Amino acid sequence: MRVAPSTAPQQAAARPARATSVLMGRHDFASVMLRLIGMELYKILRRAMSRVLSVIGIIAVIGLFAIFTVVAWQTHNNLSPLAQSISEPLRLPFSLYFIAEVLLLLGEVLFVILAAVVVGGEYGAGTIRLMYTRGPSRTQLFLGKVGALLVCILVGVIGITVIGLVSGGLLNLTTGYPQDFSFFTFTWLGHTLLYLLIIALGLFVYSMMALSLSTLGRASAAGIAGVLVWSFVIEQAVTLLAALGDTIGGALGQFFQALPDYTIGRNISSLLATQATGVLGPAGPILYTQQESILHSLLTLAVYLVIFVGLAWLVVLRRDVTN
Amino acid sequence: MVDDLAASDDENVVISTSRLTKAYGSIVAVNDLHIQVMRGDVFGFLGPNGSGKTTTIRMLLGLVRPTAGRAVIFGMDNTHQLPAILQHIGAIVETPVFYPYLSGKDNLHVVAATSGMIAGKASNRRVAEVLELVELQKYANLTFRQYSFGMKQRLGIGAALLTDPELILLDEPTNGLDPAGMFEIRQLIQRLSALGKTIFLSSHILYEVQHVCNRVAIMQRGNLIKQGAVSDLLQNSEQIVIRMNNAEETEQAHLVLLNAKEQGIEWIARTSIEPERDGRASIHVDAPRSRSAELNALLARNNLFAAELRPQEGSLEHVFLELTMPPATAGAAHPGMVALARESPV
Repeated sequence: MRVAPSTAPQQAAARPARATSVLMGRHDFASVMLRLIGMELYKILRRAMSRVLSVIGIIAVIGLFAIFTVVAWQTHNNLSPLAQSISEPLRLPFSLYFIAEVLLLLGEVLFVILAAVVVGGEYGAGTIRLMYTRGPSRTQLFLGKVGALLVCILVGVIGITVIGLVSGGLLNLTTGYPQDFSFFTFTWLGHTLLYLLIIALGLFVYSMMALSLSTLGRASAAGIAGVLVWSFVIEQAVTLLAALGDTIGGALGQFFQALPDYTIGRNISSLLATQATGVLGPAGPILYTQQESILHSLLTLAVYLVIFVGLAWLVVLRRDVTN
Repeated sequence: MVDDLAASDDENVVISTSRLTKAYGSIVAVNDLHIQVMRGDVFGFLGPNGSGKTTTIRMLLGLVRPTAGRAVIFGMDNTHQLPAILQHIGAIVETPVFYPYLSGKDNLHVVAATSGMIAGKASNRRVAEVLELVELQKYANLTFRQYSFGMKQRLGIGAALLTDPELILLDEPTNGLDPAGMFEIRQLIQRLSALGKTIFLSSHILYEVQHVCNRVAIMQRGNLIKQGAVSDLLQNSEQIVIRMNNAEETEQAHLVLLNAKEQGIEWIARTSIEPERDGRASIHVDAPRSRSAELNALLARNNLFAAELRPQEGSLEHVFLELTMPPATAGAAHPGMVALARESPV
C-alpha cells in the first residue's frame, strides 16, 4: 500500500504561480463593488421570479390604462368636457399620477419580494457560505446587494414609467382626444424627474426594510411578511391611533397624534406633494397634500434607512454561518 | 498527545492555529487547537462525527468567529485580513451549494465574478477549462437543481479550483462520488500537490487519506489528539499476523507472546486473537515488520511453528481506531467508522 512521501522541506518551497488562464481584476473597493453589483444583477436577471415580477408590473400598468380606455370608449362621440376628462388619465401629465400609484402600491410589493428573495434566498439555499469564502468582505457583499436593488428600482421605475406613458399614449389615440403638450417645459421635466426619484426613494426604503428583515430572519418570508405587515397594517393602525389621540388628549394623545408624521407612506406622499403642482398642474394639490416639510420627510426616511440598513449590516458582520 | 509540530518556519507555514477554540454556549466544539500546515503539504484532517473538523474549517475560512485563539494563514491573521487571505484559497465546506436556478456554467461565472476574476473571454475560457477538468462540460447548461449528487460535488470541486488558488480546503470532496470518481479526485489531488499546491483535506475515507496525504491531524471531541507525518504514524502501527495450525496452538502462541511482552520484549506493543473471514483465528501482533524473524524464533523456542507469518503495513485505519475508540473495541474492525459516513457538523 503506497504511502505519500513525508514532506520535510529544507528550504522555503516556491509559491506556485496562478494558471495563465486566470485573470484577476483590481481589488480596490470600487472595482470590487462594481463587480459584485454586476454579479448580483446577473443572478437577478436569470431568476424566473424576476421576469414574473416584471411581467406583473407591466401587465398592471398596461391593464390600468386599458381599463381607462374601455371606459373612455363609452363616451367616444360625446364631446362634453366631462367625457374628455374621463380619458384624461391616458394623457400626460395626468397619466404620470396613475403610473406613480401603480409603482407605489404594486411596485412596493414587487420590489419587497425581490429584495427579500435576493437576501433570504442566499440563506435558504446556503449559498451565503459560498459567497463569504470567495474573497470580498461581508460588507462589500452586503453593499453589492443594496447597490443591485437600487439599480433594479431605478430601472423598474423608469421602465414602468416609459411603458405606461407609451401604452397610455397609444391607447389614447383610440379615444379621439388629442394629447396636449403645452405643459412640456424643462421645468416640468425637472419636476417629473424629481417626482420619479421620490417614488424610487420610497420603494428603496421599503426594499431596505425587506432586506433587513430577511437578513435578521434568514428567510425571504421574514422580509416579505414584515414589510407588508408594516405597510398595510402598522401604518394604517397608526392613523387610527392618531384619531384616538385626538379623543384622548394629553401627552399620550399628542404622542398618538404625532405618530403618522413618522410613517414612510406619509413622508413619501409629502415629498411627492412638493412636486405635484409642477408635474400635474392644478390637479396636483388635490391629489397630494403636503403634511410635512421637506426636511422632516427626508430626515425621517434617512432614519429609517440608517436603522434598517445599519441593523442588517451589523448582523451580517457578526453572524456565524453554520448550516 | 500531539506529536510532530514542525519547527516554526514562517515562509513555509501556510496555516498555523494557536489555541483556536470555538464554544457554542457550554458545548466546546473545538478546544485549544494547534495545527500547522506546511507549504506543499497534503494535510489530512481526520476525526469521528462531531469531532470539530467542519467547525475548524469554518473558522479558518471566517464563516465562524473563534471564541478564543487565532488562525494565521499565509502569515496573515484571518480575523483582520480575511479578504486578502481568501483570494488565495479555494474551498468546499460540507455539501457544495450553488444557485439552483442557474446552470453549472452560470454558477461558475458567479463564483468567478465574486472571486475577482475579470469577466469576458478569459473568464469564459477558465470556466470551460474547469468544467472539463471535473467532467461536467456536457452538463454545463443544466441547472444546478437538475444535477445529481455526484455532479454537485464535482461542481464544488471545480469552483474551489476556479481561481487556481494556492491553498485548497476540501471537506469530504469524494462524498457522493462513485469509485471511479473517487479515484479521479485522488489523482487530481496528487496532481495539484505535484504543482506545489497546499491541500487541506478533511475526510472519513482513511484509505484515501493514507494514499494522498503526507501529514495528518486527528481530532476527537474537539481536541487534537495526534498530528504528524503519515509515514511516522504508520510505522508505529505496523503489524505481524500469525496463523497457527489449529486453535490450540493459536492459544498457546498467544500466551507465549503475552508472556514475552511481560518479560520485557518491548517491541511487542500489543497482541490479540482476531477472527478471519474463513472462520479461523489469527494472532495480530503490534510490532515492527522488521521483527518478523525474531517473532518466528520466539515461537520456535517454545516449540510452536507458525503455518503463516505475514508482516502487514501499517494502516491509518488502525491508528485512527486505536486513538479514537475505547480500548475494549479499538482492536476490532469497525466498518461504520471507515465507511462513507457523513459528519454531522458541530
